[in-house]
Amino acid sequence: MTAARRPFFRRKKSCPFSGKNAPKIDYKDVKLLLRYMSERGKIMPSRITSVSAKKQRLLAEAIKRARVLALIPYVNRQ
Amino acid sequence: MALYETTFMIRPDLSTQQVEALTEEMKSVVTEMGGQIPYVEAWGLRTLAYRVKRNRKAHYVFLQLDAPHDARAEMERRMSLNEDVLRYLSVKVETFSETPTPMSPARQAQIAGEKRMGRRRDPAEGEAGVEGDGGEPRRSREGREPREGRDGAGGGGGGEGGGGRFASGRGPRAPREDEGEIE
Repeated sequence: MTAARRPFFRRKKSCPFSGKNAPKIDYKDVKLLLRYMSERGKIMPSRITSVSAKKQRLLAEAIKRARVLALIPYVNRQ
Repeated sequence: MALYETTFMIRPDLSTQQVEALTEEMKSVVTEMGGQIPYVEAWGLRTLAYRVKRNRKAHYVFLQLDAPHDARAEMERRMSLNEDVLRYLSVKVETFSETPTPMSPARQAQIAGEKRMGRRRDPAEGEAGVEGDGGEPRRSREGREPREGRDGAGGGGGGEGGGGRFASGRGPRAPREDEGEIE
């Protein structure tokens, strides 16, 4: 098994929502929100997306609001 | 006074005039009780991500409110009684954003334009279309790419409105052993 089989160790990525010019987390920004959801429509864990804990909470809240507004689904059936 | 953002959804079979009339009605409720509505956006008829009260589409209206709490509460009360309003959501905000919402018709047209120009429908890339550059967080596993060679139809949101990308164009995928909980 090669050493690079999993992304965890090589991920020194910083949170995509922190730092300058970072997009604002907005429940109305469907395009942005969808990037952090799985194909099934589930919210992706931050260990994959490297979102900081604080922003992950905001992200999750925004996604849930967008779901209520039927802008994004709760589940994607296949 | 407190700052709010309110979005509400109206039954799709109403005409644009009726939608406007309803919007004005809700606005007047607020202004009569001492509030102001500095900004309104009509997002138009959108396809919903799932059926809401047996509708697949709805008119969306977005308001910024600067009003006392009872004005907002009263507006919401009216909305809940009105059969034409399917859903509403008010959010308290610290500030109003100066720029139009990402959902405004202007911004949506911009996004649609980008979709058509910049994105190639390359099935080997996986999710073509909207998720094209968002591949980073979604496809973080090595070697997953070749398996995603499924329908370009899954990414075929180019011609449709909002909800089109969720149409069931996604085939089942057998889980791999080293794969975790993400489906």
